[in-house]
Amino acid sequence: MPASGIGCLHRAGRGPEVPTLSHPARLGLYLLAVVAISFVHDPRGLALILVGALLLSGAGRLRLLLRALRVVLAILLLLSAGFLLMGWLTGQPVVAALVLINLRVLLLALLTAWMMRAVNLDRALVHWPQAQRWLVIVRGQIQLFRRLAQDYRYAQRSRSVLPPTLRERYRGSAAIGLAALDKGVHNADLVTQAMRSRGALHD
Amino acid sequence: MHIPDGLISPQTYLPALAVAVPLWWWAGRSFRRQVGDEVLPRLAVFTALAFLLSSLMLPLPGGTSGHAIGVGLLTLVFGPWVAFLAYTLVLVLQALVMGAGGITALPVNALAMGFVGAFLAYGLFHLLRSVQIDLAVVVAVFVSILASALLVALVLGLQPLIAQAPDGSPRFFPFGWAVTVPAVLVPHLFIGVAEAALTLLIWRHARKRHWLLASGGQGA
Amino acid sequence: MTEAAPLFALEQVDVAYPNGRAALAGVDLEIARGERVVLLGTNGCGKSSLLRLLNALVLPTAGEFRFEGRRVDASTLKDRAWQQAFRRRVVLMFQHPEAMLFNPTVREEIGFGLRHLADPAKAARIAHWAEVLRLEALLEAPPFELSGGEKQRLCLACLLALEPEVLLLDEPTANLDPRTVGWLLQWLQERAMTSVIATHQMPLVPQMGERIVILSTEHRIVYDSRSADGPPDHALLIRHGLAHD
Repeated sequence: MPASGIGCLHRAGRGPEVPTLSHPARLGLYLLAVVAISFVHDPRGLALILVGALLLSGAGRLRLLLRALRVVLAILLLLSAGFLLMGWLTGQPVVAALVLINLRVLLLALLTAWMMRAVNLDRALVHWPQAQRWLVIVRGQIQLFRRLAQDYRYAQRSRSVLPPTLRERYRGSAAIGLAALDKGVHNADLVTQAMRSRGALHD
Repeated sequence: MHIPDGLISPQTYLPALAVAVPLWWWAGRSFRRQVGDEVLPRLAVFTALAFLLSSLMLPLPGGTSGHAIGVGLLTLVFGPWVAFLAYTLVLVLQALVMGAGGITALPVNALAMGFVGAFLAYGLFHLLRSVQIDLAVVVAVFVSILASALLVALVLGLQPLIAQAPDGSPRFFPFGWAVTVPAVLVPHLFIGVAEAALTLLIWRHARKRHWLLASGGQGA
Repeated sequence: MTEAAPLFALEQVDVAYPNGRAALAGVDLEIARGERVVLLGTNGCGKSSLLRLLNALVLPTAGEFRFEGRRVDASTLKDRAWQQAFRRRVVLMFQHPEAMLFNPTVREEIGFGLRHLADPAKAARIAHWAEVLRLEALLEAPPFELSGGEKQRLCLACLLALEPEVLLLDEPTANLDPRTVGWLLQWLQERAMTSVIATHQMPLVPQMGERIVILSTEHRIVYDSRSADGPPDHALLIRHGLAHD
């Protein structure tokens, strides 16, 4: 999990519109780009692609870059510090490799941030209605589970006169886990019945 | 373990994808055999559940906490194929919906944590349940977490060996096994203990539920 | 002159959960076309289970369930044409709206099930029900972003857009605002639609239907106004948790 936690469930595709390309095409292009970039080993090439991507991404590019940095900064710092230390201890040159790795990771994070803004996943899945429905249900259910977990946490906090002990914290997490399992099994039955009731399971 | 894109070489993730795809297909087929036309709603709810379980706080000494993985618990309740499928879909959600990326690491994570983790937990539980069921749960979860972590560490440590520039410098993840194995395994020792304890707590209550048996879980 | 077969007929129906626990026990019930039935009972008495049975989502573990004289069992449900037609004619609104929503936008949600219509007719029907249920401003919104009440109105729009013959409602007052509840009950009265409404909200019962059926905590019908001598007495209501001293 990224250090920032669960993250948001916002629907992308509200940012500046990339003209002409459909959302399935945008998603496909993103996936292709991620694979293609892993075959580029020239730092200058990666830097050019990075600048090009930033320019093409339109208004809000700084915010996009910052968003990308937020996701990868910690790991890049850790890796770079460790690798620099290793280079210093062994006497091996490491800077060129570090630049390459950092550029590639940052570029891919930027492309992901851009994808999040430019691709509406519901529209990207328009040719796969089952996948589209899966995504809709997952989003809704995650909201329910999150609310459940939050209720349990608030309840424990509200009832705790003293800071909880380690044991109490385990029991709290276990209670959330069990409640989630109960709700998961119940909801799986319920959503199945509701979809069947609306004729969505045999179309 | 979240691995950003750009640290795993195509020499790794492409073969991993080639291995994962038929396994995903088989998992989907196995699940469809189990639930028929109810695959979509059930898989959607289980994915959301897996997502929540993977964000459960693991209390650690000193007031700190980590995040559970949840594959062990999912396996014990729903079986290894469902756990593998649901965990893979969580990785897809994280990559594409949450924007955490990790598309290239997805097949590696899915295989290490989702497939190996699930089936090892399943196998160990069945092997040990006749000895003592609580012990079976704890050992199954702990060992499967460590084994998955070891696999990830090995894959990461392999990168400098298989993806090098002509001058021998690494093109992807730059550290070898001497670094990756302890760096990944040590924190997962704590995570493994913590998650095994949490899973046991949940399991003790869950096994009283009637749906545990109905769902193909491992009721006593 | 022969009587038309009742729309729904349950004969000594038992329904049990997978763990063997009873959901309904020995239920005898006939519902005629155009009847408005109110199903009363405390939580856990089997109201939701009865509605799901009427919607052919669960089947009897004993006894017989018939719709328009045809026995409904596992083999009936395998008849795709029958099931598709049934699902368009008999609709159920679940108590928890989240369960029912699986399309990316409100517009697509209402439009689901209208695929047999030509685009202009489909668009007109969506627009009509969005307007009636005050959802026009939300047509492009994803269902999961709506409030509880909005989701419930959306569920209602999805079902009414099908122009069903039978409306089954599970605790509609739980999430619907009073204005929408009032509109719905008046609308049902005007259309003489067959309806079965499960509730434990006694004050609204007279508006919900002419016929009252009470389920007990033993999952049996203990009162049916069709065959009773008069309205349910206070003692009966107290006994079954529907009133207090």
